[in-house]
Amino acid sequence: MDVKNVIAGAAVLVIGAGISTYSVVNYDLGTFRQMGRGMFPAGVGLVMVLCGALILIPALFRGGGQMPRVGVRAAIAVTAAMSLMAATVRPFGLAPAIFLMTVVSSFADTKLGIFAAMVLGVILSLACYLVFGLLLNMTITFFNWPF
Amino acid sequence: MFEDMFGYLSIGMATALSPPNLMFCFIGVLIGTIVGVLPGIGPLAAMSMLFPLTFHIDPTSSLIMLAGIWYGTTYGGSTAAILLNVPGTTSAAVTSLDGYPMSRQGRAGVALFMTAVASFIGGSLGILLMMVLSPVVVAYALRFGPPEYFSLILMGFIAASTISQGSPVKSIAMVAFGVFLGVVGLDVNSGQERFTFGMLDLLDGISLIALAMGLFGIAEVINTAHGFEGEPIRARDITFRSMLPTADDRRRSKGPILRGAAVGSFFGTLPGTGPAIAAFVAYAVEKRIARDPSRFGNGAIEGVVAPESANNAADQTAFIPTMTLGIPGSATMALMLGALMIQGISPGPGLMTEHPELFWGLVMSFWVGNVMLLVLNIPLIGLWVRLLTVPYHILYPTILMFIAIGVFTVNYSSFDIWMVVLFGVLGYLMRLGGLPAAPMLLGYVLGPMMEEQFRRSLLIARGDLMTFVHHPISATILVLTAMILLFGLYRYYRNPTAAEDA
Repeated sequence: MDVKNVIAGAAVLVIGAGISTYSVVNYDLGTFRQMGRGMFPAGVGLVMVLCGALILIPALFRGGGQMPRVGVRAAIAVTAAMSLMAATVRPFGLAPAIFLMTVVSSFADTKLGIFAAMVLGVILSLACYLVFGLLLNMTITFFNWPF
Repeated sequence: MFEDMFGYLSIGMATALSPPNLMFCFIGVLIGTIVGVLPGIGPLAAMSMLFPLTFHIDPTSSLIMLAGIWYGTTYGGSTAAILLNVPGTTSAAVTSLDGYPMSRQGRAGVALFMTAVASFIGGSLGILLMMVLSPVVVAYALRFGPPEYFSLILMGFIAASTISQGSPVKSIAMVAFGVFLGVVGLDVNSGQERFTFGMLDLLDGISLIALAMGLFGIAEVINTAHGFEGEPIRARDITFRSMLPTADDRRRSKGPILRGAAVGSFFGTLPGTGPAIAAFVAYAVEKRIARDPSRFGNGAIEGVVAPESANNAADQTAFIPTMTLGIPGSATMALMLGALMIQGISPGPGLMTEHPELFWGLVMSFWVGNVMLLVLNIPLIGLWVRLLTVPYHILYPTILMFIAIGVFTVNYSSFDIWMVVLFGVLGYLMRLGGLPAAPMLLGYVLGPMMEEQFRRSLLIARGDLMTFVHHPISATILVLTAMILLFGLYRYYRNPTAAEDA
């Protein structure tokens, strides 16, 4: 069983089925003469179901393919970093957000120590203020304190 | 028609040579070269990052800059390929086959010089072709109606899915998903929302920037952050004198450069193919017709200049279908169209006549850009070589910063950043599963247009699905599409191991 492609095929199939079902149930399909808003998504979902099946079924019978190396550490670090930025940029301003993001994202690999990461964070926030705030004169709040 | 041509060229030159546009062209090609030299970031990621900037500048300048990045990366990509055997762009992969051996023979300077020259000549021929062919295509295209457009878009999707590497079925699935993402938001025809799940932020649809940056930027960073091992380059003395080719080199290069340009120009116009395929085919052609094929792979200069000429020619001709028909042949072209659409310009055959300064300004800026690149790549080559020594673990937080700021400054909304995170994770998962992201972008940009044309065709034909076959041009396109699909499937299933790649 080619596990990688089984998962990929199944995912495509399930998502496609979800899209089609949601469109048929919730949106007006209309007729071919006068298409409603649901007809196109329903069709697209159907295409995905078909493709998903075409990926899934041969993979069930095919010999083992290689499972890819999952960079869990990198994925979590980058995701956490960007999420942290999304959460802090409005309440706390851009500069702290960039700083936090840089420090957290440095966990993705082992080469940058926490101290060096903080230094880089300060440099980047400063660069960001200089380039976007002063040079390009954009109206972004750089520092904010919500309490 | 040719008296008009002179008028167009003058408008174009005036637009391209205006100081702001010169500056944007330079910024574009400079960034393009840097991005091309650095392995790990591609033109799509770079263009996505600069995309938000295009809101604040006018459409012509935006396109000039984005285009500069696009063809600039091709010039830079060969540098790392020759020096490190690590291509900076996929189209440069073939260049490393003979370029790296040349560099080990101490002829790196010559290889770098000749690739710059070959790129310039290839690019110039591509531009000439674009100048001559575009008015012709436009004249023809004005006869297209909704059924023809629908069929063309469908053909573009199928071609992009089957001709490039990887499983055609996976690519088609991704195109479909991309179309779905394009549908999210307000439906133009009925005024009702689709798939917004009550979230007001989604009423305007999913932001193209968030999608592009997440899929290509973030996913790429996650992918390379943990595994990047770069061989340190010894900043060797690449003096100007050591770069000059011998008479033998010059003699051997003439034919390959011209043949490469021809191959490249052809493949550039086709949807789904691009500079990478053009480069491969050009290399294969040279090897086939060489008097001594065993030289290839051991530092044959023909194997270096032909692909480089081809990929630059393909870069330029790729604009032909995009600018004349409004049908992009690749994800990067789709991004450029997205830039136009956001500014309120609808691409299509009318573009050339409604906005001549945009079209011809862009074409003339190609000349300007190519000359700038020639200058950047020959004397400044030492600078780029030094760039390759920047450690990646400092680089990627900077990339993340650019992505975050780029997305945030569009609407000052943190929702957009959350979208980037979402698509970043999705993009990474897709890579793990071998599901290609580029077709998804294509589907997203063209999906709404496809639905529009489909609806219109059916409205006019009063619900008759056969209308797509009754219109002769549309029918021809559909038959071609079917042939491309069948050929692609056949070719893939005959040789599945060679093609499995994300």
